[in-house]
Amino acid sequence: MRTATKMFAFSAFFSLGVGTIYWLLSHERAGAVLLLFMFLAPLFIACYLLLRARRLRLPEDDAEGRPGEGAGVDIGRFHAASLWPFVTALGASLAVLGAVYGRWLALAGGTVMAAAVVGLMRESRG
Amino acid sequence: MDRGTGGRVVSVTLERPPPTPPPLRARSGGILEWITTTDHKKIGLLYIGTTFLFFLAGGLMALLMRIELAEPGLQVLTKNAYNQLFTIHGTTMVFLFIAPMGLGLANYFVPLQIGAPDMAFPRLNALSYWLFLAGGATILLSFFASGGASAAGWTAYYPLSGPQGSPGPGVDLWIMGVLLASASSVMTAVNLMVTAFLLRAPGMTMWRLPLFVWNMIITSLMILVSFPPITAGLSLLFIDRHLGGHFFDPASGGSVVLYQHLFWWFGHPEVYIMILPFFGIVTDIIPVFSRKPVFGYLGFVFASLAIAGLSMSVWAHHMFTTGAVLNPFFSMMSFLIAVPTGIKFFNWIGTMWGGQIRFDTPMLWCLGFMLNFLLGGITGVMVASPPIDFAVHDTYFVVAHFHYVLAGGSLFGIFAGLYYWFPKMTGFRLSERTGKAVFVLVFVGFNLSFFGMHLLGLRGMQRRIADYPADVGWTWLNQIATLGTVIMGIGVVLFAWNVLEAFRGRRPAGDDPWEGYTLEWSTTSPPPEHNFTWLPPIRSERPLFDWRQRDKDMGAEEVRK
Amino acid sequence: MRRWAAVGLVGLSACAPEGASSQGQDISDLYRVFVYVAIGVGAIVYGLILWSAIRYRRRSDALPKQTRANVPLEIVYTALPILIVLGLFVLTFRVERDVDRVASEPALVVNVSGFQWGWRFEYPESGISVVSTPSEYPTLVVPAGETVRINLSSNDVIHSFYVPDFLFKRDTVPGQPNRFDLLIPEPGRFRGACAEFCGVDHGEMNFWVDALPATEFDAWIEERAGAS
Repeated sequence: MRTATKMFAFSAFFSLGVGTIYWLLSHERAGAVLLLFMFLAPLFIACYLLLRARRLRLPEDDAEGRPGEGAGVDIGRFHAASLWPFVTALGASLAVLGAVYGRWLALAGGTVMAAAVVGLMRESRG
Repeated sequence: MDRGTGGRVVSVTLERPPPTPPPLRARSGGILEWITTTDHKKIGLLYIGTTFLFFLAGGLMALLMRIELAEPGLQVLTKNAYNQLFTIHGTTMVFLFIAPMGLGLANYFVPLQIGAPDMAFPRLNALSYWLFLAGGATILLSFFASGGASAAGWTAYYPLSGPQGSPGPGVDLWIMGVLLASASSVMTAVNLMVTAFLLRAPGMTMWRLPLFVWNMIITSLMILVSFPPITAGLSLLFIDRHLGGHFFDPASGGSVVLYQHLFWWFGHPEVYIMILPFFGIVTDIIPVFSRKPVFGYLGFVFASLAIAGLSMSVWAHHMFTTGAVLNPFFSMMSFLIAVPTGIKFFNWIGTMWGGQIRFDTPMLWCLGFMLNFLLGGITGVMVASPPIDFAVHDTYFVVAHFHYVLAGGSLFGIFAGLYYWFPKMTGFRLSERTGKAVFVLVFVGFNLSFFGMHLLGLRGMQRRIADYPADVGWTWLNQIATLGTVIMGIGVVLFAWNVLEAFRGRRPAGDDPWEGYTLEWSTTSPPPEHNFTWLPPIRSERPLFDWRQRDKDMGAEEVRK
Repeated sequence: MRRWAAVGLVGLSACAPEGASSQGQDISDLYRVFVYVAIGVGAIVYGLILWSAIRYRRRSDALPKQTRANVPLEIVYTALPILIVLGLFVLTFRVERDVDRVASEPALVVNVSGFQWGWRFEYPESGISVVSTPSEYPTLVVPAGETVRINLSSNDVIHSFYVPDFLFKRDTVPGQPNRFDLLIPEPGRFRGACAEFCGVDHGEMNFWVDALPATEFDAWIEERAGAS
């Protein structure tokens, strides 16, 4: 994970440098604020990774790692099939169409989406 | 409790393939299987197929516009129809074809290339696809809304996209479609990044990743920092249109230029989001067909990172003529971005240099990619100079420039990837002869279409006009462009035939038809569910090459058991 | 192929109109420098691509030398482009400074405003106003050989004042006035258009610029000021 941390840190400090130069040269606010956030967002991820990665040793990063290593380590549950993503997207698109065509559609879409999200969560637990 | 098809869960461990019992299939085959699928390969195929259909739609719009422009005067379209067509053509190609085609190919091949069983978040992956489809349908179906689709240009500059400039629902549907598509892109970006960081096979260190994977990581980084501002910008636009906001309305203290800042903050990284995946594909293909390792692996990755960084600080080079931005700063940054892009050219040349290059269809498309993209890059340096931009901005010169980058570059990269990976995705071989004919038609048609546009722009033909005067000497160049587009169209139809013929011919491709280097070629064509039953040891960025050249003592290792 | 690319690029440079304004001439000269650099760089890179494609096409099944990197070479092809773009930037910076320079005492001020879909040219010193009519494109009349200040504004959407022969355009942005200077050395008549997409009749938003000799310009002012 060291490489990932470095990548995020690089983009954070790159934006800090560019943003500082940009602000000093232009005093233009929109771009400076955007660059500020492009400093903060990757910095946040880099800090998180820095804290996490200290305890994390991945067989992936072992240059001598063999394909069989790490077998049996649980990396999470993969759902073979799920209808809920489709329903969630259906609800979301109805909801945004509701913003164009009327509140009733947004309400229907929101309900569908909420139901789908509940479905997704129950699926994860079960 | 019956949770329908949604309730099935397979626990996957780092042991590959997944433990018995084998993964459950959706109860009924056919359409329900595709709707409920969370398999990254099926989702990848859905993406690739859907984006290709969107490409056909966008291409048809281009053809209609070119037919209209073949002669001065209005023959087949009204001005309003023309304006809708170029708006939706641009939106379709950018949001619904090139960028998501990159994400679709990544969906299929990033897990395969790193030796993973699936994407990190399979259900989020499915959600991304369905949101993308919903967004695309919203944008394309807006042609049937009252007043037609948005006619404010794919950039939707305020005030033209505001409540007075575009009163109909077209712009609203456009906003909502783009919001759905960008939400989908952000989810896919998170998914790809986590997958590439955490699901690599043992031994696949970051510096052994195939360059397509590296470029997808960097593309994802760009998506993550560039899409939120456009989401915010378009939401503010919607608020200005319907909820009484005045963010961009100068009469009430808003700023018209602010919209352009928000838009291009996203819009310029988007250009690289649309090209980096295909840089990656081309850089995976050229070494295989040259029988050499890629030249300058580290330099290539750092160049991609530099492009990502710089792409965030060049946005206002689209705004040189507004008189509201600091031109020299953005000019310098835009010039600098040519340097890492140039490095990539030398990576490709260095890889080919001294090789044994086999010109099968994927390599031909790569060659076309380099030849076209180089011209787009050179004109890119020209338009990065504000005074030259004062002359050619919003003329056909710029149209030619970005089509050389996005059609001559990205589209050729897409074709290279499709020809390279088609055998892996389907198990069938494409006809090489037809493929070469497709290449010749598209290459010739493309250059006929767009080379003359440089001259049109220098002669003062501005963008986004349905009609032009007969006495300014633009007619013959426009006619050549229209002819080129028709030839390109024939090439695309022939490509469709090429694919259909391969399905009918059912010529088996074998697991590794090109003597590939990366892990996707070590599994079957098409790969089984959860991808691998066996992996070679990974000791460099081309594990399969090492495996073929292996020493006797470095035996294969069964993953299973 | 290499020769054709070069011929094509020379063609491009030939097709750049000579700037009809003094600012346009600067831009035209800069454009020519860029085209020469582009021809040089293009010839080298196109040459290398095509050379390696032809020279190293597959002739045997022998495994070629597996070169992975060459650090000195990589430094060279990183450093050289940096030097080239720095040089181009210096040229760009100087030309842009000249093009954007505004005189403290222009000979004439014209307020240009774009609207959907036409132009209004106002001469505040003489009270003259020229506006698009449905049947006719308006003409911006200016004296040749003298510095003219153009003030740009718009009250509806963004337009862009574009005269191809001047190799120049500048946007009319609502809420954000723009200005630039124009010096047209020789009398002439030039076609102008709107370059920023502004709605249905964007393509019809054309105009003319007439640069008249000083005496004729004074006569025109008198005639128009008297008429209004």
